[in-house]
Amino acid sequence: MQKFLIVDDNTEQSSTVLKNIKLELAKLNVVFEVEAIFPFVDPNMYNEYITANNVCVVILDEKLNERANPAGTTVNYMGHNLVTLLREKEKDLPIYTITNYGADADVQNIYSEYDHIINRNDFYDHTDKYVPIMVRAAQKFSERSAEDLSEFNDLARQIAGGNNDPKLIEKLKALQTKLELPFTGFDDRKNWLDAYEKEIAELETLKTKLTQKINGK
Amino acid sequence: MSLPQTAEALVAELQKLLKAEKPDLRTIRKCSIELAKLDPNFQHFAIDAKTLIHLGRDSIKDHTTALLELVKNSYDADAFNVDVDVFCKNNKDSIRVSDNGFGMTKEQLINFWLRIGFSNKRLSKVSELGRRKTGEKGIGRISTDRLGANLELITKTVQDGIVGLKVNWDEFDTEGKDVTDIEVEIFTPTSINIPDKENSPSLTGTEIRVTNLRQPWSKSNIENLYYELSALTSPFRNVKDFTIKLENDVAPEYSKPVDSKFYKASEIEVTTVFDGSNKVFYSIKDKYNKNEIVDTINVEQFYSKVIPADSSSEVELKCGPVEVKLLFFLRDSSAVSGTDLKLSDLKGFLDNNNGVKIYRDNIAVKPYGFPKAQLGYDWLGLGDRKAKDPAGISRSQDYKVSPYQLVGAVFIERDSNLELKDSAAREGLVESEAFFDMKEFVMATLRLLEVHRAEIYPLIEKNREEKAATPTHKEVEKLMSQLTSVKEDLNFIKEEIETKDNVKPISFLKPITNTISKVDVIADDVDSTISELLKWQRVLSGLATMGISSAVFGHETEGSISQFQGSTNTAIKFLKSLPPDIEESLIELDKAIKHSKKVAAWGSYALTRVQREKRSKRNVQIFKTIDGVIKELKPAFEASSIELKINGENLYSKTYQMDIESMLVNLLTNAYTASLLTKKGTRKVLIKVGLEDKDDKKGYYFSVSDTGPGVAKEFRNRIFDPLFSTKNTANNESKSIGTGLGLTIVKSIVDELMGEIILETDPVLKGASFKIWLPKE
Repeated sequence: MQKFLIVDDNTEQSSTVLKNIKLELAKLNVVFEVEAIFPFVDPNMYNEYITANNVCVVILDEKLNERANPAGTTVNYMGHNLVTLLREKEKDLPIYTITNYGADADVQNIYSEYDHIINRNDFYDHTDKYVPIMVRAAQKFSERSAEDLSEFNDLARQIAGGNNDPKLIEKLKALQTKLELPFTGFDDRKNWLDAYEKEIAELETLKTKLTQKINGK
Repeated sequence: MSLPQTAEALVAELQKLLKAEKPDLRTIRKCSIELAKLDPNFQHFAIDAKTLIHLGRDSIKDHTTALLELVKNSYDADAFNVDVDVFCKNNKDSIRVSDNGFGMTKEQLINFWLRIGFSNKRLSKVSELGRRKTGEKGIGRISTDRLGANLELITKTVQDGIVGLKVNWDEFDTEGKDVTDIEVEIFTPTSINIPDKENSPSLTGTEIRVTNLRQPWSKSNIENLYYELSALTSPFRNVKDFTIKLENDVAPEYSKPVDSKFYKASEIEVTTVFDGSNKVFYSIKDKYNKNEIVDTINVEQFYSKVIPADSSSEVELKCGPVEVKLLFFLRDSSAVSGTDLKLSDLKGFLDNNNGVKIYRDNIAVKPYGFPKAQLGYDWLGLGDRKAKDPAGISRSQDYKVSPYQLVGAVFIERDSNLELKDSAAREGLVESEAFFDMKEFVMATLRLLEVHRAEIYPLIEKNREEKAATPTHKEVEKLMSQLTSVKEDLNFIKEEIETKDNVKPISFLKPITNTISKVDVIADDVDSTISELLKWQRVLSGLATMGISSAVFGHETEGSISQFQGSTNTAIKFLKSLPPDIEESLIELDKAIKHSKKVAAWGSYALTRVQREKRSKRNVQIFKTIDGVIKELKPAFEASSIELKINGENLYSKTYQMDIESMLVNLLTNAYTASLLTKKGTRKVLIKVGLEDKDDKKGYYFSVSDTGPGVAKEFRNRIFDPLFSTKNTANNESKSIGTGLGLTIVKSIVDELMGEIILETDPVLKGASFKIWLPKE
């Protein structure tokens, strides 16, 4: 099932946000999981987590470095740092921040990286406005992801079937990048086939020479 | 002695004890108690002996307060004289409070004094002499524990003679003992040392001696005690109503009768003397004029000055010679400005002493001017008079003094005022024509005071406006001009000496005297200008500190407000859902309450930063002050996972509490910001407080250390410069750049208090460590 992920070092705060989202989702009669997590000490763990847990919306607090986790460790990055990191790989993933520090220069400087910067008090007052926006964004994200996968599948089949149209190959490369699929290099494939055919041709030539040698005895 | 365990054995033992020729009452009692414990149907609460320690020692602020309670008890016991002795040097170790009050009978000693929780002050708020009772209910006996471990109380009454008891308070400070297990020895002393009453040995009184003192007394403790005791005494020196004599070996300059200083706070002092002929002498002193108005006028003129012109011009006073002193006080901070008195103490003094009393041969005559039950005995009708005409001072012709602002005395003598006779039927004087003449004379004096107040009021207001409007640079210009004038005078004298032969020194006496007077005035002006500036600087530092700390810690409060709002909203949503989710709603409401308390705590922190009493120089408990601030800021530190600890020792110093708090808050604000950058391990801030002497000067220090990155050596000589800040934009940090004022404020306060501030790297925490040393007063 798809998931809304809340990242916040303040568990009281995140649980209140979580409850509000769940209540609103129930009213909208849509099914999404909602989870609140403490920020990872290693920020590189997020991408894997997002993929593995089918996360379709991320909601961040800004001041992530204040409270210690149960192991007594605090993280050394803030919400705006995390957004920049996530955007390196997740161009389309809906990312929101719910914070009282939306006006801070750090956040404003990367305004375009967020889908929305939501004032915390405003969120509590107007949950019924914000959650539907998040739901729509999540649904669009999921649809696009499914469409992209389907298109990738089609293109891969065509190229594997021998269609060497450069435009198709370009499109496939782009989709590979977007979907973070391993890059198989179709130019390489052609070169490999050419090399393979050349090897075969050389072997054929060798075979002819050997036959001639044997027969010429 | 071990008692039997079973009921039968106990009964048998009791019977045996009761039959003895000389019953051992102590064992009988113990036996009875043990037997009662075996009652299968009824039992009783037991009270742990330590309860007394909690009621007394742990709840009384300090030993000065404890001793004051004993003197208040003497006052409430209608004593005329109290001797207070404090001896704690050269192997002496005792405090003695001895009075000639009404004492206690043996029955009162056992059934009242030994009865914890009982106080006859609940039965009557006023003593037999009509004194408004001042002591706390039931505290006096326990306050002796605060003073010392051993108490000996000896008391004398006409009915029972001399009886005493001995208490060892340390016996109560043990675990597992019942209050009733501890024995208090009753004994019959042969003598008692109490002050004489009216030059004869007193027939009644109480002497309390405490030994094995809990803590030594310092000079400032004695000074403080003297000051507190003066609030109980009359401001009129010759009154013998209630005198306290202090003797001590700590500050011998305070071994003297306690003298009230509260008259210093009076706005206007009027004295009128009628000599029995046709002359009235009067003097008027007020705070705004250095010169006293002294004049003599005829009685008729005196009355005509102050009563409407259409009254009879012939006045004849049948009361005989009389002297009236009236002191008028304002009940606001302007009354204590320029003195070392506290407003709260002045109000206490006025509450105890307001009213106009009649003293015959320097002894107060009841009930005039004494409070009675709920209403004060206002024999002059000042209350009604004010109520009928409550006009403020701005309506000068109608202005009337409020009774709570007036402390007055009328002095008469038995031999000179023969017409003022004692009433046979009830207390007081016969209200004859002589009595009404005296009353009218007092009222005329009062009207003189009111007229004078109305006259000087415009001048007071003008001074206030001028003072408010005069900027500092103008004050400085004025001082410079005065100094220039002095310099000119001195130059003139110098020239006279240099240029003239046969100069007689006496000829310079007047110019030099004038110059000295000018210098005195200038010195006073300089002193008051500087004091005013320092006072403002103190307040502004406090406000700036609050601003700086709000910028850093305020976000925590903002978070709490958000959480409060969010949780409340969420709780409502859960209640409105179908079905309502009560459990979730309660969880959110608990969160809301918790965060509302945090907001309230921040509000309280902000409001107490610049309280008035923190702005004056007083004896401050340094550790307690610092601990108090730490408790207020701890929630903000904990919310950011910063461990905040304090280690140190109790110590007192005479200083400005606001200064200590301003310095501390600024250092803590810096430590908080630095701790957020702790690279490894737990974020910590540690405060230490202790005594430390430096260069033969007694002093103390407090330090704030953190686990932050420290201050680079390159910046260390600049960090106290105004507007210099090391808090610049960096990774993972909000761009809330430091103001660069916090440490400047700290340094300026340290310099003013003649202390030192050192920055080092903490060897354990590895971050910055700021240590402030201050001289101890």
